[in-house]
Amino acid sequence: MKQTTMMWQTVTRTLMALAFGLFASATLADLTIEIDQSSDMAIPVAILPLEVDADTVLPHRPSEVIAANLFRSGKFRALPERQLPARPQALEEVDYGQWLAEGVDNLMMGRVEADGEGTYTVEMRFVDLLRQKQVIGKRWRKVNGEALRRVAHKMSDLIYEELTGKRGAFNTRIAYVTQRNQNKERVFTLEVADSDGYGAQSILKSFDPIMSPAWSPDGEKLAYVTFENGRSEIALQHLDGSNREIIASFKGINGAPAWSPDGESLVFTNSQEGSADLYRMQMATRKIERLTRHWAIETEAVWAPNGRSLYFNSDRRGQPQIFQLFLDTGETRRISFDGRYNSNPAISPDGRYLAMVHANRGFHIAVKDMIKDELSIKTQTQLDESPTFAPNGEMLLYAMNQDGRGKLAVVSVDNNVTQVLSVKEGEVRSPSWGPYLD
Amino acid sequence: MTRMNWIGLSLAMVMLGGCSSAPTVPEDQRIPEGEGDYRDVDDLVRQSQQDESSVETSAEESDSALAEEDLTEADSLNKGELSPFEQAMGETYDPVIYFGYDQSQLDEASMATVQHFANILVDNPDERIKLIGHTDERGSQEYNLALGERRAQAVAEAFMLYGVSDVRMEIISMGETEPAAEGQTEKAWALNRRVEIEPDNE
Repeated sequence: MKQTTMMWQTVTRTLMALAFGLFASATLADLTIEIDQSSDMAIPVAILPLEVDADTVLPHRPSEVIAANLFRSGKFRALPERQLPARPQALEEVDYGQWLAEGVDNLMMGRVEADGEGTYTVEMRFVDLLRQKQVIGKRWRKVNGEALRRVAHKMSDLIYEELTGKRGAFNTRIAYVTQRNQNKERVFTLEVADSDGYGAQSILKSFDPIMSPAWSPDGEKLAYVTFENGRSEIALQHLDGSNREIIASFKGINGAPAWSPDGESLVFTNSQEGSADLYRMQMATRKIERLTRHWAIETEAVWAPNGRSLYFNSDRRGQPQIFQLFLDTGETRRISFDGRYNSNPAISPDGRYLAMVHANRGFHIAVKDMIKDELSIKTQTQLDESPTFAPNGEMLLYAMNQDGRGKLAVVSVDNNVTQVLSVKEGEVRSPSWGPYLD
Repeated sequence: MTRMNWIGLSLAMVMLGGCSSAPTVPEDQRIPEGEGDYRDVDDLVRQSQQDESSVETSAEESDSALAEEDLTEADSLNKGELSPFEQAMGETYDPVIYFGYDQSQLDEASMATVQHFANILVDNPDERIKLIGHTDERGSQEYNLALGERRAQAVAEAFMLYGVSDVRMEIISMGETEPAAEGQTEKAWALNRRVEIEPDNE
């Protein structure tokens, strides 16, 4: 097909990682947490360093990964190591009164043992100090050094669920675009990293802009906008490196890809009839169907979790506002009413909260509670855009500008605690939070 | 021809021919309500072009130490490449139209710029142009992609009013991805809300 040829014609300006992780310059695109803004509401938790044999040096410290995860949620804070009153190694060694006196109701302990085959056995126990009982006990075998972080994210998820009753979303991945200058030319990369920004791997490198990555519901593919042929087109890339193709290269602009919840179709923006409208592509046949017919700009569609309607941005009333399109009847209703500029919608996985870019003395991320019909502004940073929910709906990742650089930030939906994530060199934008990994 | 080449060429012409650019951004009509002071936006346009020209020059110098003659040759080659159409297009107007925040209407001065280039196109019926729409960085990237296209379409419609058929114009939007000026200032944003008119040699 035409698309495949196109890919090879542009191979000098756009490089796809042939296998996931081919560009091993991970450290450059890793996100580092810059600002720690603690919440008074954060509940203290004791996360003990995992016990290790004296001669074993771990490449990663799981307890630190867990502590950072809990902190990022805005709900919890791990006691600093120096404030830990004791280091019990077994349930019998826990002096419950000692911990309760520190104001701590929960404690994690565990061990990592080298198994002699280059891998590790990891064990964790989570203790409810009030009820004086172990509430989680887990063991992972044959864990290699790099996978220690993956296991730490799984532990974080178990702890988060135990403490909140909601599924944790730390063991997930995020995608984002970086931009830096190299010999006076702009270099863009599309990165996939762990939810804490660690372990970034470039899956695409290009001298032309990249934007709007969208995860397929199975987490195996990304659709995104590329300018590698001098104009906006939508590319589809498999993360295992098996395939990449341009799937939307129609007349006009091609942008804002959004997967249906079942992964069978992709809604995107195109302007072949003159103005930007929403179109739906069936992934099996690549047939497209026009969904909106309006002289205004209609773009930035996202699917309602039940797959029956779309939220999108239209400036049919003169300024960008969020509307909802019901796919069965074709009926449209306006959703955002506060302020003159609301764009870039994102819907929480339970369908209750609609995040958007809201202009009111600057551009911030606002969240509308669709049940209470209330809008609240969640961010105080500058030029905020591209909100994307964690798969459990508890946190929002978004792009913003700080000191003249594009960075990402995470904000907890409940209490507005914000942490900034940035790359060591250059800028970051277009974040997209991927689905649960298992 | 890429944008950089075109800017390089038009600058070369300006410098060689000694003719100065006419203001393309009228001082009084650029100011969207409540968006700050734009009186010196015209100076900024010139400044940014000078910046680009110095970048180009230093780039040439850095990699040409071993063959000065080659550079001279290449230089005259470049001059030779200029068609009468390209020369006419660079003569008096900067091929850029600027817009207010979230706006896509052309004011009278912009219409005069379009008329100038439209006349050249009418005189050169085989030539084609690209209209490349851009926005500032504020607001969402995808809305800006559509807004950049709407601006380029508005310029195309103005060209049609002056007798240029739409089949001779290619409309492209880069959205907010190619700012002309860096920085989070009203001035930089004003320079970035633009449509560039380029000869289309493809």
